[in-house]
Order: sequence, then C-alpha cells, then structure tokens
Amino acid sequence: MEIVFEQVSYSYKGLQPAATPALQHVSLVIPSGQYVTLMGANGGGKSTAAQMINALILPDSGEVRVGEFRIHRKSKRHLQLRQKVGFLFQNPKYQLFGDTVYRDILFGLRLMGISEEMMREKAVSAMERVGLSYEEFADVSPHRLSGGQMRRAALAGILAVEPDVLVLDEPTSGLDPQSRQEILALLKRLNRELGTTIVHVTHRIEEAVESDRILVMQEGEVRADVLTSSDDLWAQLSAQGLVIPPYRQLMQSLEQLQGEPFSAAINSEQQLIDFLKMKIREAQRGITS
Amino acid sequence: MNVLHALPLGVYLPGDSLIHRLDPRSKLAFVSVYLVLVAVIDSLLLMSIYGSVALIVILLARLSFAYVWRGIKGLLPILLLLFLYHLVLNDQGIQALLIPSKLFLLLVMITSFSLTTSPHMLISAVARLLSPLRRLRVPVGDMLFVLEVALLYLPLLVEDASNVFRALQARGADFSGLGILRHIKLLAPLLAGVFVAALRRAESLAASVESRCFHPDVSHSGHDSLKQGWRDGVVYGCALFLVIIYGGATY
Amino acid sequence: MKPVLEMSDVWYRYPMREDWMLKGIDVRIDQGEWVSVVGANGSGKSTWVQLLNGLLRPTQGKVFVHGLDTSEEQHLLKIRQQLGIVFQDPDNQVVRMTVWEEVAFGLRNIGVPPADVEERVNQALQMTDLYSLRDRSPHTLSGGQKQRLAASAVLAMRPRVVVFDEATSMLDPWSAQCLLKIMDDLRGSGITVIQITQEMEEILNSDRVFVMGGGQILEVGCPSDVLRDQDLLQKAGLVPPFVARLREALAQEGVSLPDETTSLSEMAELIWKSFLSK
Repeated sequence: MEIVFEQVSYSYKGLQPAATPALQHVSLVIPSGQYVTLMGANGGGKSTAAQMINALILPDSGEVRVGEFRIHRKSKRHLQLRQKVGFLFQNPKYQLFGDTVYRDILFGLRLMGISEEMMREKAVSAMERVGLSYEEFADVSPHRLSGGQMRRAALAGILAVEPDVLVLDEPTSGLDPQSRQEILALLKRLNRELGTTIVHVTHRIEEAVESDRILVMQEGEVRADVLTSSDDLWAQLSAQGLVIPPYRQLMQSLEQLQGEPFSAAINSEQQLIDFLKMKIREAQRGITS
Repeated sequence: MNVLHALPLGVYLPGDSLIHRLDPRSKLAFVSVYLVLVAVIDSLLLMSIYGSVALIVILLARLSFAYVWRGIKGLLPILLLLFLYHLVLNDQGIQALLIPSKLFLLLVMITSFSLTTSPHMLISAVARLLSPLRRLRVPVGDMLFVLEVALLYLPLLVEDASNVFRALQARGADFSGLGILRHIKLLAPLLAGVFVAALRRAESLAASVESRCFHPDVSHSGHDSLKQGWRDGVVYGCALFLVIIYGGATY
Repeated sequence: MKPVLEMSDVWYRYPMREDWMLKGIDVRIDQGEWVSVVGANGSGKSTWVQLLNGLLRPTQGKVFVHGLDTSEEQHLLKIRQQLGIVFQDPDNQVVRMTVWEEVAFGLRNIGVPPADVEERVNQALQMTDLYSLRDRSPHTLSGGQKQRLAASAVLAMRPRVVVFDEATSMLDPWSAQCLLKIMDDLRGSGITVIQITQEMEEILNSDRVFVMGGGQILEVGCPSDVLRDQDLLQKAGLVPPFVARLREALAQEGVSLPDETTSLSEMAELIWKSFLSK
C-alpha cells in the first residue's frame, strides 16, 4: 500500500500556541514495500507524521492517503485502516493489554471476525515470527518480560493481524545493544520476507542506514530525502547536523589523507574493519614480495 | 481526548487584576459563602442581585467573557433540560428559571475563582488552613506535598491517558459509535494503562525525592508567605454583606 | 584518606525473593575518580545504584559513603547530601513548579538558611547553564534540559559524589553529549563521578571501569584494558565501541596502535602511516 502525504499541516493543540507548527505543508510518497527511516530532532515532526499514517492524529489541512484510505481533518472510522497499518509505540507498556502474551495478541485478532482456530494459528505464527516461542511465552504476563522481549510481544500483537504497513516509533530506545540489533534484524526480515512497508522513527544513524531510504524532518519540514544506496548519503546527513558515527568519521579522515575515496563500498563498522585488515595484508605482501 | 485541552475549568490564567492579587483564603471564603447562599435562595430578586455580583467579579478579574463561556457552554444542554423539566413537567415557572440559573452562577463563580487562583496559591491556602492539624500528628506536610506533585503531574497523566487511548485505537479499538457495552469493556485496559503509568512515575519520583533528603514539614516555596491585607478585609466584608442581603430579603 | 564509597561483601535480594540480585560486591572508590559502571540489562547495576544512598539496604554486607554506614537511619541525611543521583528518566524527577524551586528543593530539605539557598541555587544553575530558564515550569523543558536540571538540583547540595544512572539513555545524541560534558567539568573540579551506562562509547574518559554481569563485578580496569577484552565484554553482554574493535582487529594483524590515541584523526594518521599509504 502506497503512503502519500499531500500538503499536510498540523499544529499542536493546547492552551498556548506552539512556537512552530508540528508539520508544515509536508508532501511525500512512500512506495509500497519500502523501508523508510524518519529522523530529526525531537519536536521536528517525525513522530507526528508517523501517527498520521494510522490516523491517530488527523491533519489540520492536507491529506494523507494510505492505499485506498484517505485521512484528513474530518475523516472518521479508521478501524479498517488500523488493521492495515500497525503501530508500535515507543513505550510498549502502553500497548500490552492482555494478562498473558497470548491473550494480548488475541485482543487485536478478535476484531478480524475470524474463527477461534484461525486466530490461534495467526497468534502462534506471529509469536514465532518475532522469536518468542509459544511454549515459553504464551502464558507469561507481558509486564514480566525484559525490554526487548516486551517490544517483540507488542510487535507480535501487531503482526498477527497481518498489516501491510508497519510504523515504529523508536522501537529500540532503552534497549541494550544486543537487543537493538535483534529488533533491527527482525524488521529487515519482515520487510524482505513479507514485503511490509516499514516506517521507522529513530535518531540512531546506525539503524537508519540499514533501511532503504532516510527522511530527515526538522521544524515540521522534510529537509532531506535520500536513498541509503546513494553516493552523497553521508554528505546530506551531516548537512542536517546529524551525528556521524565514529567509523564514518575515520573513513572520511582516511579518504582525505588518501586524497580520493575508497574503491570499495563501505557501509558499516565491520566492513571498514574488514577493509583495513585486507589493506594490511596487501601492504605486508607488498613488503615481502 | 482533545476536549481535555479545551477545558478552562480548573485551569489558572495568570493575570494582574485585583482579584488575582487577593489572598486565596479570602477568595475561598467568599466563594464558599456565595455558593451556599446561591444554593438556598428562593427569589428572582436575590438571583439577579447575586447574578450581578458574579458579573462584577468577572469584570474586576478582567476575565474575558469568551473564556468563562468556554468553561460553561458544555453544560448548557443540561441547563436547558433542567429549565424545561421544571417548566413543563413540574409546572413551576419560577423554579424553572431559578434552578438552571443557580447552576449557571455556581459554574461562573467556580470558573472565575480557578482562573484567578494558581494551584500553588490554592495549596498554600489549604496548607494554612490545615496547619493547626499538625498538632494532632496529622501528616499535613506529606499530604500537601503529595497534593502539589499530583497537581503538577496531572497534565502528564492526561498525556499518559491519551497515549493509552491511542494505543488502544492503534490496536483496533473503536471508540466511535454508541456501543456502550464496548466502551465499558475498553475502560478496563484504559484505566489499567493509566494506573500503571502513574505508578511508574510515582516510583521514579519517590527515588528522586528521597535521594534529596525529603522532609515534609519544611517550608517549600514559601507557603508561609501568604499575607492578608485590607483588600482581603473588604472581601470578607462583601461576603458578610451577601449574607445580610439574604437575611434581609428573606426575613 | 577515606574512600568516598566502599562496599564490602554486599549481597542483595528483594524481600520475599530467593534469587540474589547482587552477589559478593566489593568496591572502593576514592575522591575525585571518574568511575564507569557498565553492564547489560539484568546485570544488577540498577539495584547497585539504589544501594549507594540507602534507598535499599544490603541484605548482607555493608555500604559506606565517606565512612558512614547506609544502613544506619541517622546517617542517611548526610549520606544523601554527600552522594547525589541523577536518574534515568528526565520526566519523573521533577517535583516543583519552577526550575529555581526545583534546585532549591534539596537545600530546603536539609535546612540550609534562606540566604544561602539563594546563592547556592543560582550557582548551581549557572554551572549547568540553566540560569536563564529559572522561572520556567520544568515540564516545558526538553529532555536534555530536564536532565541538566536534575544535575543542578543535585549539585546545589554540594555533594562529594554525583551518580549518573543511565542518565543519557533517554536523550537524543546532542543532549547526551551535553550531559557528558557536565560530567567532565565535575571531575575537573574534584567531584567524584560514578557513571552507570550501557553505551561503551561513554566510558572512554573514565579512570576506571567496573564491568557487571549476573549480579557480580566481573572485572575492574582502565577503559582501554576493558575494551580490549572481547571475552569479558561478550560475557557481560556488551558490545565494544568501534574504536576498540578496530584496535583489536588491527592488533591481530600485527599493527598495534598505542593506547593514547583516542581521537579519530590521530588514529587515521597512524593507520595511514602504518599501512594504508603503502
């Protein structure tokens, strides 16, 4: 399902008007099956935009279209939309309602109006998909799970209804590095295997570069829109003031000393390490030969 | 949930009017007397007198009528209903006018009071009123602190509720439509979610406060700095005046 | 010289639970040190923090803050004045209506006279660059500003030790850097800093690192040694930062970079000279 934002504007409601509107005439298109990352400082509009995709927030003006669904100021009845667009909140505790993991997943499935047996099937397969085995976790209370496990349980509840789009608001915040990597790998798998369109809100660059495309939002506008395969990815990201990861900084220093960019494509810490190791071996062979 | 943002009832609007500068205790006294009297009066004459008092208060407080109106308009249907009930079903013309008017004036006065009295002031007033209880070993300091923090966190808890609400919506809960039974079933996870969020905050706060050597009876942010002046005397006088008018008109 | 923090053979488990959260913890930290405590979720570090100022009492063993026993009620006030904690959640530490009052809170609790309160609060606000925001309501501040406020509130009490309990984990990268700079400034003025974190990048400036895992202290060492020990890090469930992994990988290939090189441009120069230019 394609996602389209057309001249969408929104400002925070409250007693005092906010200094800048949350979104200002934002227009963008996310093709079906793309894995997009939304970045930017807090208050820049990325979370607001994300919450419009499943109509949790309605635009003040303009329109958001998700497949055939149209979301605008006066739209109502978003039940169908929300089955197609799953949303994972930053704090999973808000989303886990069942007294056990299994029953929580059923919560969302009940609304599909399918048989008990089908519900069970989908619930079990959703749990397997996120790596929480049915035997071990079905009867556990969601609140007794670790941070990473809770995220996965919440994700299972969302995936069970088989959404076409998955929107995730900082899904790795507060997790230790290993859990972060696991969640990220899971998301990539979902995108590859199921073709789910993914909109991932984060401020971690290392995660963002794993996606297909990065949108940087500041002060309610899209300031950068770049495919991760593009050559000037890093130039654009640092132009937006995003913190460049150490391995990238090292690469840039080395390329400067060399006077030209590296021949190989290097997009992760490990790749740089492997590249340098290879270079050492070449140099050593060069000396001995 | 956006309706919560629009409610001026209970909200404080900072300002510099005569009323803003009064000691909260005198205002509290005046409002209490006013509320009681309005509740018991029985004549349209007194109603119009007290009505004008409310008008004077609004003017003195330099409140915009629009703002006061926002706090009240939600309840207009109820007022109308009361009016019709008494007029048509009970066949009491006067009551039909009196009862909704009483409710109206009550709301106006309460709204005006809360718009001109900061939560801090209110708690200071309550603190002073309750201080004699300390001698009876009542943990007044603790209670006041809790009250203050609760008021401070109220907007955050509302936001938590809003988040839980949206989480429910995201999972497919449908709040539109009039399925009351469905609404009730969803109330449980909503309340549970807010409860859990509140508990989490409370736990963090307790650690933070205890780590800073919390002592309940220490004077925080000058609750003792309330001082009544001649203007407050005038307010008490006005309250007395209201009583006298009532007495005079009734007996 | 009395150590600023001492833990001897501390064991802890929650009441009515059988599993031990902390097992045989021995710690000694001296005045002026910057100590990092790292560990994955479940390593016991969160429990450890609460034992520092008596929020929790050890089930077995003793905790001493500058010689004072945390299990003795009468010392708690002094202990908490000497050891302040900035917690993880920026939102749930504030209890007053204005920034100024929030910083004054602790001082009023311990009975500091009003004239001194004024001076110390203003000083603390200047230290964290929040003076201009002193009349604001704390909830209108950003996450990073709120953490600076929490730090201010602790600093006003003039502690010997400031503990940062994963204080950067809920902040965006820019605000996290600000807080780290404050830690640096503190160490510069002789205040002991205890920094609990999961981000290995943040430990580079500390004097010593305590690696926790499974309720125990697995290792104590200087950052470069700890970062080099891949087995240790794996056991503790930690991911070493890029610079450490690079150094290790290069060392395996026979290229060793001296310990003092921590800046990336320095490393780049060395790499260039060692083999890349050949």
